[in-house]
Amino acid sequence: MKIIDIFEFIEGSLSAVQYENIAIDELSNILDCWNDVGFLRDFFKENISDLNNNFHNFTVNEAISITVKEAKNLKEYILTLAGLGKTDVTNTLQTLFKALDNNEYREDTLELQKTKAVGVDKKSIGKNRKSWLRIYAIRLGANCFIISGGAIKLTPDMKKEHLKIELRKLEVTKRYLDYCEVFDENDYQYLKLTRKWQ
Amino acid sequence: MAVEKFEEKFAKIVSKTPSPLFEKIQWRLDNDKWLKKSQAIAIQIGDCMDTLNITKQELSEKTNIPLETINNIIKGWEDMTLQTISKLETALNTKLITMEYDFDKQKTEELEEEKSAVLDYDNVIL
Repeated sequence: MKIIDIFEFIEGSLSAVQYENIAIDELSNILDCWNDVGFLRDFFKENISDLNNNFHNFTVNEAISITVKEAKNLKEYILTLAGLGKTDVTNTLQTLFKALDNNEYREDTLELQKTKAVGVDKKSIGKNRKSWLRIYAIRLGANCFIISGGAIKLTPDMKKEHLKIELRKLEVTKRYLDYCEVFDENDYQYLKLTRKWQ
Repeated sequence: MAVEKFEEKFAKIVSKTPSPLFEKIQWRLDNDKWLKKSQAIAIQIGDCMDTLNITKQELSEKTNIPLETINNIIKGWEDMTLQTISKLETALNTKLITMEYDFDKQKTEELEEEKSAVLDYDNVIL
């Protein structure tokens, strides 16, 4: 495992993990996946039942188009961040990520969220739809963010296998940082990207 | 002994290899117009492959397009030539791009015009 700096001009502000046998860091890797029509097609076909429920009502092709567009917005946002001054980036990063809720971190079912979303029709989903793109990171100290991975989250809980893998990646990253003696047990936080970039 | 600061400890584990992220993002934004077209074609190809139930390997064999190129086409990352598009259209029995000027259609219309001219001539009472 390697830690790759994303913003070279502010060392250590935003980094991403590069896992063994993967040629690029996780942020580059997930953005590639969210731009890969073939990958997205396979993913949404595999998770078709999560595209047609109380939370979403999309065809596979609609879901592909939405993901590609959202990924483009996210990339433009990252470029904007890169153009900001050092202090601005630090401040923005602090508001860009938020803590992973305990109930998200656990693999339990979220009955509360399920009941909240019942009765949402296709029209209203389109208007205020929350992005399903997720980037997961660990925060060290005040201004250091390490991206461990990302996923398309169609469900309120983390029970799906591809989301469990993301939780394991957070753990593996934490253990690696532990091994490198970079932080104390209480000096970290699991984070997810907020929708501020949208 | 001086206690090492967090920043110093962290700097030691960060790789010197830069991330390809910005290069990739910039390239994608610079090539956005044709990439969107490539992605739209990829969606249509995916639909056709599902309907015909053929694999990437079979499509590669049918079109004589290398598998690596087929992979990139399905990803929506390939800047395809007209020849490649035509091969795919034939193999998938579909139209992947439409043009305002349709050569085949135009030819038919010209023929029909000629034919109706003949009919008009026949109907002239001398």
